[in-house]
Amino acid sequence: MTDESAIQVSNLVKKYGDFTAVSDLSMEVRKGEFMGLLGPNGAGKSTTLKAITGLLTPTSGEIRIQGIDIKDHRNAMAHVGCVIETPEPYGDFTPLRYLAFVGRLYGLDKEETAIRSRDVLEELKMWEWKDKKIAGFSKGMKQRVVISQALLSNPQIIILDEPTSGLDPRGMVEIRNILAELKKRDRTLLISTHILREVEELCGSVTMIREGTAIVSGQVSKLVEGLNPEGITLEIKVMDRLTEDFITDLSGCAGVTDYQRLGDHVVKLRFKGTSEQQAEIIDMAYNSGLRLLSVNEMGANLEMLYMDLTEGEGAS
Amino acid sequence: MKLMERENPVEEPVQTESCEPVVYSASDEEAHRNTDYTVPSGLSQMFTFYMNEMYLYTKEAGVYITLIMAFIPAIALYAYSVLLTDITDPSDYMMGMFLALTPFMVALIASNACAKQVNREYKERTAYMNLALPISRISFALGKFLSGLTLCIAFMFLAYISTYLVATALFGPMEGDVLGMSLAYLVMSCFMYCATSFALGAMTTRMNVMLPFMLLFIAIPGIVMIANLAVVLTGEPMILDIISYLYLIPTSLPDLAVKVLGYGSPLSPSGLFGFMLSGEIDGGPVLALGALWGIAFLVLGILMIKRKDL
Repeated sequence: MTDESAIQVSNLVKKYGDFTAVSDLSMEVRKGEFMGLLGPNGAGKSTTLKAITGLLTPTSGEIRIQGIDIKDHRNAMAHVGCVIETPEPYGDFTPLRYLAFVGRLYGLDKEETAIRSRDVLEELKMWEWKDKKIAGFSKGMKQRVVISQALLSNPQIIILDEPTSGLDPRGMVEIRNILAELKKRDRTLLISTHILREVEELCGSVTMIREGTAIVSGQVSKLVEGLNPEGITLEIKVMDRLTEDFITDLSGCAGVTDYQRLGDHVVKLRFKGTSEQQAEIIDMAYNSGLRLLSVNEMGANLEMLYMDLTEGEGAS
Repeated sequence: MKLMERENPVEEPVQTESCEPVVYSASDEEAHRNTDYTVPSGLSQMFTFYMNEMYLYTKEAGVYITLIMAFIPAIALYAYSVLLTDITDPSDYMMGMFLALTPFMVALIASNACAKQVNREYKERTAYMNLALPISRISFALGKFLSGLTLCIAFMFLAYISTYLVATALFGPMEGDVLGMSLAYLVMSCFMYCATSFALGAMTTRMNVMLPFMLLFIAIPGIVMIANLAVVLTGEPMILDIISYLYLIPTSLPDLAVKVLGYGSPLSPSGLFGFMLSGEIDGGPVLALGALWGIAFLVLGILMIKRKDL
């Protein structure tokens, strides 16, 4: 384990009788890293997150958070905020009272709790509900309260198990925006979700679990790149009629290995290069004077990687 | 994000859990600074859980009904004295008579207060949030247990003190330290019954408040009664010796709390049949065993919570 390690899981095993939920799983989340935990239902994602947050005791293996063994739960979780398995706040509490309770357990003073409570409740669009009983809230509102407690202490590490579950599409986008904001503040995120778009948007790296074992772990871009040995296809569509000069210019761009003209308005490029080179191609198309309609990237993505690695699984 | 766009710091009172509102006056930059804090001690966290549980009790209508019921013995005693004017019994006896339901009340309240505390956390999924916070599960468990114990003792003290006041006002002061002894038995019985209920609640997956009640109020005293009956019927001295140890089983503590007041027939299975309390019982060992029993079950309950996988 390095000093840069925020979460270190080593040889984690969790058995329930004869059933092995997690089998010799090892993974590391580095400080400032946003990692997605993916896998089909029953793969062991939630069990792993529960073990990391101390909600269950592993059969064997070691878990360290910022170098502190999770067995020392109070200190290991001191700078962690988490939402595991759709928890429920006390129904008789108001969001403000609930956050005051959580703040006291974290050791925040009253003023700090008040400031942070207002902040997180505003961020999660729950401030106007601050004095209402949680029992009367919808599932999505409860989820917002739950997420607000995870963010209350401004933790260094955030662990979320399907955080957008139960939220409407707007709520999902809002949560993703909040998480994206945390990235700028150098926080560490470990997130388990079935929504691959969330992972693609938020996470730089991903660990895929299948049958309780980590089958793939690494940076999303590199993993996807591995699925695209021939490169990706860029489909460029313009409003005006394509010209030979334009096609010649495009085919001469760095990273373009082949091209195919489809009618008078669409050209497909086989591209294998860097993001900068890809941006240059789009710039050229935009500045060509042919009135760019769209540029579509086609090729393997995280979804294809996921489907590839979980092939043969049932419900996912 | 909206917060990052906010230009002017907001300054308005914010309702917190303290009596004094705290003025919120942070700019966005201040609000998003790194928050400095130190996780409080286990004792402090235990107190937080204790106060939290006490607050949750205030939301239960049953608690208020129970607290009102605590005054029934005193009211009944007063009514009795009005209806029957020629009472010659001393105040401690009268107090004991009207607190004859003490064994039933202790068992019922301890079961209700302590058996469902932990199960409710699992069932309502609040444990998934609480136990993932930077806390020790021992603080969590002890905070909850102590709140249940407080409720049980508070109820019984209300019943005792109100009945004592009426009894002494109507029938004169009590002799000796019978009230002190009775309260000692009472507190220990509350502790023992609460600890047992707490442990059974932590061990079972359902919120079953009847299990500890049945065990403490009916099953164990029932076994002792049957054993006593066997002794009476057989008259076998050897069996008598063995059975005499059953008197020490501390489920009889609330019965003793009544008996020490001079009233020998508490309204409990053992009290009603009069087997168990027919002879003199040395209260000291029963108190000590009650303490040991309570501690053992409390430790068992805490271990169950510590090892519980969510």
